[in-house]
Amino acid sequence: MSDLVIDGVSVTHGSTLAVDDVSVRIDSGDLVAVLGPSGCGKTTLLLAIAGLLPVGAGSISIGARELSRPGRTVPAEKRGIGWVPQEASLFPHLSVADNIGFAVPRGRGARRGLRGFHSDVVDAAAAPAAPARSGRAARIAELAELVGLGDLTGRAPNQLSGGQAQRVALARALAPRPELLLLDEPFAALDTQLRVGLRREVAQLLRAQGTTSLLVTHDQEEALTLADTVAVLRDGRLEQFGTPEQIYQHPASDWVASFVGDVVELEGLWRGGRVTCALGAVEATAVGFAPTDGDRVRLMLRPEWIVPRPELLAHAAAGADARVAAISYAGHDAMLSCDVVGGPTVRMRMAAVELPQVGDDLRLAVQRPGLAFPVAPPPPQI
Amino acid sequence: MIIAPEAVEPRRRPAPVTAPAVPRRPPALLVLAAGVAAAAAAIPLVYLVVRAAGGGVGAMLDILARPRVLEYAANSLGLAAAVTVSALVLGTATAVVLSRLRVPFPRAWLLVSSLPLAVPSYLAGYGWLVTVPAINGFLPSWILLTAVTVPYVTLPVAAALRGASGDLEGVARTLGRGPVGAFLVATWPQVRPAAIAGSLLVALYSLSDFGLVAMMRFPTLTWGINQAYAASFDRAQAAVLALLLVVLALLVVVGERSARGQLPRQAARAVAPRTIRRGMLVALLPVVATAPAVGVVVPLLGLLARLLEAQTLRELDVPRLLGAVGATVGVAVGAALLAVLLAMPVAALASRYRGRLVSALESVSYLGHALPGIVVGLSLVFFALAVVPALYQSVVVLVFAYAVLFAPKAISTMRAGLGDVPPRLVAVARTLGDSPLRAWWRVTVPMALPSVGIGALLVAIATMKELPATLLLRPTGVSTLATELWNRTVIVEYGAAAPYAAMLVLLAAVPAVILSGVRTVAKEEL
Repeated sequence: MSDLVIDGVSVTHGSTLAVDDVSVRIDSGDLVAVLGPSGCGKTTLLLAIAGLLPVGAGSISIGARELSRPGRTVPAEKRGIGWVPQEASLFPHLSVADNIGFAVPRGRGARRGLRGFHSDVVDAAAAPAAPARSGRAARIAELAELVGLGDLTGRAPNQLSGGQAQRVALARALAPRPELLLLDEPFAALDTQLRVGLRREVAQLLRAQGTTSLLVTHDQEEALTLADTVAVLRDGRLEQFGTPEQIYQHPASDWVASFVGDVVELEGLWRGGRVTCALGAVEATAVGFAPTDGDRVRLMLRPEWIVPRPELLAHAAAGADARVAAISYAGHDAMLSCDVVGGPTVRMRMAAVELPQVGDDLRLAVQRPGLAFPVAPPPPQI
Repeated sequence: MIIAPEAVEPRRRPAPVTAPAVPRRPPALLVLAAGVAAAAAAIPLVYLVVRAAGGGVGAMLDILARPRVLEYAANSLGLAAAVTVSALVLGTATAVVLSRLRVPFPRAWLLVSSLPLAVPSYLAGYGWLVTVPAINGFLPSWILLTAVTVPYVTLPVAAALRGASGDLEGVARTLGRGPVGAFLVATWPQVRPAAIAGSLLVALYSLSDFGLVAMMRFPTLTWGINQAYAASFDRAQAAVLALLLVVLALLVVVGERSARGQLPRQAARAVAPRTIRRGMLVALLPVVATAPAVGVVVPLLGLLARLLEAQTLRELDVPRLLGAVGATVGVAVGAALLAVLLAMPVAALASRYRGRLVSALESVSYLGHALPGIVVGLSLVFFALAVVPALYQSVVVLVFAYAVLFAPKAISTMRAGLGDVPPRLVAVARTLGDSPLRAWWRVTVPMALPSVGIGALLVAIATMKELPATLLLRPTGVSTLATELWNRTVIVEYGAAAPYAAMLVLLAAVPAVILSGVRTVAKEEL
């Protein structure tokens, strides 16, 4: 199969080392999110994969075909990699149809575009003959239909809304049947409601097409909900590569833990696989180091791992009494700030079905093992 | 799968720009083409230096010490200084009135105040001579040049005032400054670079002007060059005078570039125009209306009156007039094509690449902007005689002179047009299978095409109005509207000149005005 292999890649952008020794292997057909704060080098990595920036070290290849190594960059037009930039970037002088058909050759004589594009990467049996036979217009109509813009092909780009423009950009990138599709924060400029709907539809569409896709985003929720696998990037380095569940439940570092979601931090003493802290002796896994009994450690919990009414839990050996100090209501769930008796304030998230009142007393327990990290300078709060 | 298009969405808002795929090294072929263009632009200056230095430094100094030469230089400098100061004051005042006071029809007034740019100085001179035949010397030269060049100050200062942040002025007011004090302390520093750059353009125009000062018989350097070459055949003196003029012009241009470099780029909340009493507005009318009245209205009325006289109409030589129109349009089209051809590689290079070589090539290609027409004409006469005698007095050299003089107009418009094409779009085309050249052809060129057209039009308009280089270089038997107008005016045949002047207004000035209404960028290039 033609997996994307990024092996020890470093990219210098301007005078800064924007991507530093990143290695990732992406299975064919997967939707992978590249997640990181702005300025972490994720867009630079995407441009290097697209062939728009040269790599300073390492190599990028698809299947047996090497695309980039220092001193040799297969030009973007020979890679068969589609790109949907931020802000759609439609050609303003072309209609929607001509934008979509930009890479679809005109007439019989001009099939070079499609075939030259893929002759060496696509299985001959599945090669493009079918769309070429039915003609350029048919292919454009098919793509416009695919992204739900069938009746807008005659419009000019400046007559489109932001979401429509992104659909056109997606159809345009899909037109030459790319082996790999790169999406650079394609939903960032849209308002929240539209973003949520469009990204779900796009993810479905990409899965239905079987296109391997790389989605760059700084939005944790977007990465976790859409992707098969998430690559977390920080300052140009790969912090973690794993399924959304691994990233969230088993972060590789305290930075990843607090970057991908809310955390509750408590200090405590390590003893035999448990951390004794304000919430009692909480079962925990040490991440990235091997503590010995009696060491001071930082315990990290997700707010929803803390639950009231411990008698419902089988292994809720630990527990602590607390009083609800504040409730931040978010509709589907709520974040409770609770003052632990004789201890700190912890935040817990619970489904907003039967919420306690401010001032109620609760007995808190932790429903799954927490994460123990060495005591160190506090990580940046997100 | 069908996705329903959403009904209402906000417009895309700008996000941080990523700049993909800016190659560091320009393609060799592009550099070569730009090098050819730069070399072409450098020919007049280089050959002038060769020619002027040919007699040795001692001979040059002898010529420079001649009393006539000193008089020419003093007259040129004095006139340029006087015009610059008066244009700076009047232009700044006009800009302040138009952008800070609530005047009726503000856009129309801005267009009116830019009108003098469309009128060549000698046409204004002709229009006044027709009306008041006795005028001559420094005073009318000064007044008319000021009227014609004021827009060089008005337009950039008005633009800078619109772009200047008004918040600072408000802060100064809350700290106890009066309106004038607040303007001076907060806004003037933001406007000053534009005012200086604009007034240096005025200085350049005054130094380079030939037609008006010659009509007013005020002996400046340009007039002296023409005298030395055409009347007394003293070519050594002509070359030295031309070199002196070029040095002065280059000094002015260097100053203009550095002032322009300090122009602030940020768009900010401007001060809203103030409402004032109608009486005050009427009192301020002369500030805004003087330049258009002196530079455009009076000359055009004089021209019209003379054109409609019975004798003028009776003596109208239609075939000769049509011949001049044909020649004018012909050389203008040729010059536009050649200038765009030369400008294209320079603009393509300068819009995408940085570096010492690139900026050197670009600066050299801009030389024509600094060279007075009479200097280019003189130098190309020398050059053609010495290097390509077969082409001497041919239309080829004439068109080449126009292209060198006006290619900078095409370069700056096309450079802006090419630079406005987002590199990201070119990168998208690359990921869709286009080679760099094919992406340039399918994306960059179509998007920049309007700027190419405007550049060509600007060159054509400037060519039609050009006088001194045309006088020196035109082949025998070829007369443009400008030279016909000139030749009749110098022998005081104002009536016979009128049809040519009218035709020149129709051909050159009217499209210029239309263009300046269409594109703000084009205004300063007229």
